[in-house]
Amino acid sequence: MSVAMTTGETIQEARRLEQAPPPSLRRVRVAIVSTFTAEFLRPYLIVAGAQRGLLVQPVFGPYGQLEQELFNAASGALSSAPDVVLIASRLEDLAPALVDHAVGLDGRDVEGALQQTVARIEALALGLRRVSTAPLFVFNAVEPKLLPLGLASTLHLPSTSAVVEQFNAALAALARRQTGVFVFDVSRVALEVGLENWADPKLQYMARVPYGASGARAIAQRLARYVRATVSPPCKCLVLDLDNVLWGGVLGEDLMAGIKLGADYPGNVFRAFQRQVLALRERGILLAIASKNDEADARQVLERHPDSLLRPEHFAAMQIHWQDKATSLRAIARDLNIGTDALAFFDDNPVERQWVKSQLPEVVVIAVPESPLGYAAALDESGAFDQLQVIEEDARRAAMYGEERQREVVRQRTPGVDEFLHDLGTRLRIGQVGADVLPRVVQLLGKTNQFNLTTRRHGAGELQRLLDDGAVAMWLRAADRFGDHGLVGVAIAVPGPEGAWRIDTLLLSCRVLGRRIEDAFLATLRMAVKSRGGRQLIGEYLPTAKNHIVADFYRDRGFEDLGGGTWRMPLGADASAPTPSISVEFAENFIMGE
Amino acid sequence: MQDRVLEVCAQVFGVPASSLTDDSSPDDIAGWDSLSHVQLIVALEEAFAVTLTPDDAMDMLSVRLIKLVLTERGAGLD
Repeated sequence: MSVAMTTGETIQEARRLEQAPPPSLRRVRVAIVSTFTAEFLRPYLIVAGAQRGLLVQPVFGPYGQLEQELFNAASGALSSAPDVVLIASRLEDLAPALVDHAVGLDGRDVEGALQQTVARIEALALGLRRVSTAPLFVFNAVEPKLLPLGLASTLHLPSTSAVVEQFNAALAALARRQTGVFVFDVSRVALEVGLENWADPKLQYMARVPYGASGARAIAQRLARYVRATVSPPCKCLVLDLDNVLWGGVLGEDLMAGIKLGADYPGNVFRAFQRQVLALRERGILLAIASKNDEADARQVLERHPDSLLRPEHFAAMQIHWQDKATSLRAIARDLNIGTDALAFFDDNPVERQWVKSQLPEVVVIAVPESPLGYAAALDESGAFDQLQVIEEDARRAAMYGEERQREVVRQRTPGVDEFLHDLGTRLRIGQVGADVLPRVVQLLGKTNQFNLTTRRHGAGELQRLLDDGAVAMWLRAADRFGDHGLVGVAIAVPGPEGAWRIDTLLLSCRVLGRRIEDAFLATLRMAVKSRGGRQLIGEYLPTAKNHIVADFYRDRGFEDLGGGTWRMPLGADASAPTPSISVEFAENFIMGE
Repeated sequence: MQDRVLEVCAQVFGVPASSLTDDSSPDDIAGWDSLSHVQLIVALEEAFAVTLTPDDAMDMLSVRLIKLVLTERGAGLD
């Protein structure tokens, strides 16, 4: 997607972006503390950010001063109130002995030094938490270009490679247990660039710059994707064309027997691409088809073609007809109850791509290369599905949309709403937000648009701070006779003066709307607040382009209008109202106050 | 080559190429500091497809010297 600029052009372009930032770019302040001269990355990072829609504003701490910079809210790096913090470190700098002197070390030395190094990073993360809620990225370790033992390295215990691997595994484990801490996989970037082109010894020794231009450029491009993933959610659905995308050739001309899909070239290229698409579905991305074809013929290929890995049941929506593709994309978004901005569009025809861009600029239109051999890389490079962590709910989502279609059938068959809800057998489980569910809760806060009264996009750090300040934060899981929806609701209330608790957040995933789950959830919130001594609840409605469906939420539930989108409900003796046709149970950790 | 040297220096230091002369050096270009010197070396290597040594990098302390070193390294003049 990006034509490589020379370093001179990059520096010039970065300066232009800083002096006259295009208003379309989203500003992200990135604080970078490092064990080397990380400023060299600056222009590459600004330019790579702009290519991903970001105005990256990097602020660098002096190299080698990790603790000084991260433990102090007034430090050079942190005083700008960064949105993202980065520890750009090298294992060579953090623990030189581990990389340089593998021969003299035994397993215990290595273990000890690794533990010490990871403990230091953990302390940095915890220290940062006290002064900032920004997500933290830590560089993992790259194998050195030269191995101290040369050819003998692999058989030696501990080998340099094994030490690097162990460190990276320990760092990943740290990121899994500390919310809001992530690994920046610079090791992977080095693998892609190749160690031969990674560093320039002259820069390393003269200026403590451990990467040459190719390395810096590649790091910046990958980093821009990580940063973007912290501020914008991944696309929810991949919309695919059929001819020359999921198989080679044109079905209408070549017929099922003539299209290219199978074990040999060129059919194996399309089969491999299908496999990649299927892998996206397995991590929760919905698949859809927008194709100009005869629907019956196309379905027949998906149902019957012996080499098609993708089958009709893998697709959550299909638009196969001769209408234009913008219309198809709108219909797909409507079918799936998601916004068109959650769609990524993959079509080999540049005219179709241009049309969709012009009609639906919010759709992520993937830059598909001419050769199918480049499809897989283009899909990855688009970053449309970039996500910092894949969690259980993601993996279940695609299956849940299948269940949703069955629910739709019940909805159509059943006359009254109450009867429908009863028929559905909705079961709720409500608990208190703790470390175990924090990633999913943060994800919901980040991406729920429609049923969201305040659209406050708290990160893990901010959420933790609210909890530390005495807030009540509840999660809600929903299930019914067709399946488990997983964790789909979040409510947060914070205590204020005179027993007035403010509902900071109240949201539900759109998958479970229209069945009075919100009433049961609000009733539970009222009980929880009341049991903590709350005397009234203050609700807010902060309008956005997408949350108008909850504009009257508090009015409809008997809250008193205080004006300015603020509502009040006293918590009297009647503070709990059961919701018929829904069963609610509470998790073990759910405490109704002292 | 003459013009390209000025162009690269202008890009790296953020000054108009027309303001640069053969005598321009860190002494009179505000943006020519140790970090931008490293950037200059990398930018020149890319622009002229040459590999510079640490000694080259330390010698390149004016536009005139840059041109001299580049010529020594085989970057075509004109």
